Amino acid sequence: MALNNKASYEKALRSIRLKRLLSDNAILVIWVVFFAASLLFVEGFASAYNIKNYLSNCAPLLVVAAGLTIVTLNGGIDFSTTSVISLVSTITAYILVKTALADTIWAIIVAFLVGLGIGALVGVINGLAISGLKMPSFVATLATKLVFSGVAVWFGSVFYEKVSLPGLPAGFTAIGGKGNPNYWFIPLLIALFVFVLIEWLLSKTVFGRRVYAVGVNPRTSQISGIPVRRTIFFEFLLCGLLAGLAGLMYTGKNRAGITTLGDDMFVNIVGSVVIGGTSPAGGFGSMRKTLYGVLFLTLLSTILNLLGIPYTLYDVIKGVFVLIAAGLELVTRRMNIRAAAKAAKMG
Amino acid sequence: MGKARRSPLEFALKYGVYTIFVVIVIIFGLSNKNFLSTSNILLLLEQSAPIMIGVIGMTFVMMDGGIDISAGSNMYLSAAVSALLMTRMTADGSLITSAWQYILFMLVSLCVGALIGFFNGLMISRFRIVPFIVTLITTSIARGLGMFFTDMKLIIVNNMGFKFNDKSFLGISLLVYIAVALLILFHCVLRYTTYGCQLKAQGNNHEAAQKLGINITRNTLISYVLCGALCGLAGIMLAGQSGGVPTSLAEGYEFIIIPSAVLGGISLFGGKGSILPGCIIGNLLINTIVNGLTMMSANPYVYTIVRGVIIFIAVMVDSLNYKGEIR
Repeated sequence: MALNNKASYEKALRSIRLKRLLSDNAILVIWVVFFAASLLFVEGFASAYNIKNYLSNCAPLLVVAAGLTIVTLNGGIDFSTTSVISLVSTITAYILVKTALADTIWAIIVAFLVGLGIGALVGVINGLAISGLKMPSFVATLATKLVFSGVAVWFGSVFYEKVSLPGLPAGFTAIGGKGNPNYWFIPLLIALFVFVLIEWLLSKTVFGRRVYAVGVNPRTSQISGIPVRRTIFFEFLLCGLLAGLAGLMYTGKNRAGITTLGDDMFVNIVGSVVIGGTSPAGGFGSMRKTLYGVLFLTLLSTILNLLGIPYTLYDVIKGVFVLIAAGLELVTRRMNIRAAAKAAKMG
Repeated sequence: MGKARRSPLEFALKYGVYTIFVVIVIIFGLSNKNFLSTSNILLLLEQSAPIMIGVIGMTFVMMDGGIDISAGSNMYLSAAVSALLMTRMTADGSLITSAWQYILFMLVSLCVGALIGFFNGLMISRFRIVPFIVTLITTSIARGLGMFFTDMKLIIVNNMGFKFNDKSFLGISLLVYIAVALLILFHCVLRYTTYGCQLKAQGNNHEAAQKLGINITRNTLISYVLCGALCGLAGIMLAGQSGGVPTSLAEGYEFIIIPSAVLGGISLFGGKGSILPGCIIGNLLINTIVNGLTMMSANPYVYTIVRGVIIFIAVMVDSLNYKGEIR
């Protein structure tokens, strides 16, 4: 009887592992299928130029989505990422083109520091509002988003007198993979670095453990002695910083400062996180999943573009995918929990 | 979470909004002669009316502790569908004149809105996806669909005879009467019906409400449908008021509606506040600020910043009393 029990226990464990493996990597499988199908059936997809383009579209999105992943793991959200991208773009372009520093190496260094600084500043404001003032993140960041995207457009209207400022130096645009020598791999390297860094941070450090713990249950974490507020503050700080870095990359990629650069990006950013399988309710997910989400969502945009689907429907189609993914994540998580409970009962 | 005892801070918040309102009216009134003229006040009321209707809907959603970011896009899609129907019906050159046609178009818009609300509610109450993710996605879905249906063109509804500018009674626009009627109706719904009381109870504590036998799934669903329907109605009213349905109709209005409700004392954490006078004062305050800034001919890009700051302060004050989890 005992033997039988043990056998069925192991069988249950195996089925859990299989299910978990499937649910963890489902989106990767779907991505492979989509990728193979579009290589075969979508005209213009299977070219070196297109693949290069696809990868360089993924890179900045991965950087900003990495920040949002950390925040989402805590059940929060950061709407202000898009405004950070716009503001960074607006102000760095101004520094690079219109100030006294223009055309020197100093302009590029200052622009980098200012870009990251703006991201950190917005992150600090969000972090203080959420961890200190206990504001819910979705409203606090909505407010900061409005303020900073307003500042970006206002800054542009006063100092550019139009919405974009082209003519950035080649030394700067290299960060977005543009420039006279072919720098297309630079954003990929940055994205890879960010990916490895955040993956390490989330899975191998105390901070990462705390992020998951706070995401699953803030009250229990508080009682167990985890500095909940400090963890949340650093989450938003990191998210802001990474959004600032992504803003620099997007600016370089577009070779211009655009005051509304980030405006339409939010569905992509939050979509990559949610499609990857990170739970919007917090506690479950990983950086790896976000990578899958980014790959999938960018692939979707590329295919839609190549197939000539009307531009207005892009967000509709992406939105449907995001909602399906969010629903599936919930179903698989419930299934896993049920299976684990069953196994625990047997053991 | 809501407490029966009233703290000094809550007291200050409740009357603080009125004080700020009076101060702002005095400042704008002194700096601009036309600000306190009858025509400007009537204009202010008329402009506030459609948004006020959206705020009523948002109150129901927020009473449950949820949020509906899709309000603005919902208004656009509903108005766009209704306006497309109008172009079909007036294709032979006839004009929309009878009251029945007006009611028909308003009902169409309301139904489209209710459908979007139903979708939101279903996703949130049945599938338990976080409200701000669902409604964020429906925001882009609704606006994308509207742009697809209208081919990104401006539909001018005034030319087809659909306008509210000339419809007034005793000098006050028809829109204001509709808004006031709905305010009173839904105040009673929230205050005196079983549904309203249950919603308030579950907003305070979902688990406890469920244990008491309240059908929280159904109530949440109804609150989102109500919000959607009212936003749909508000959308067509906005179109009739401004004369057309551009692709940017009501863009970002959720950022007026949500802070209006919060300023009116309806807590983001659920279970607190009432429609009268909460909805009115918050919305009037924000519209007065925007109207006053327009009259002082401020840089239009500053409005967004001002709106953001208002939301931030309103929510900050709302959160001071909150003792639950931070997310």
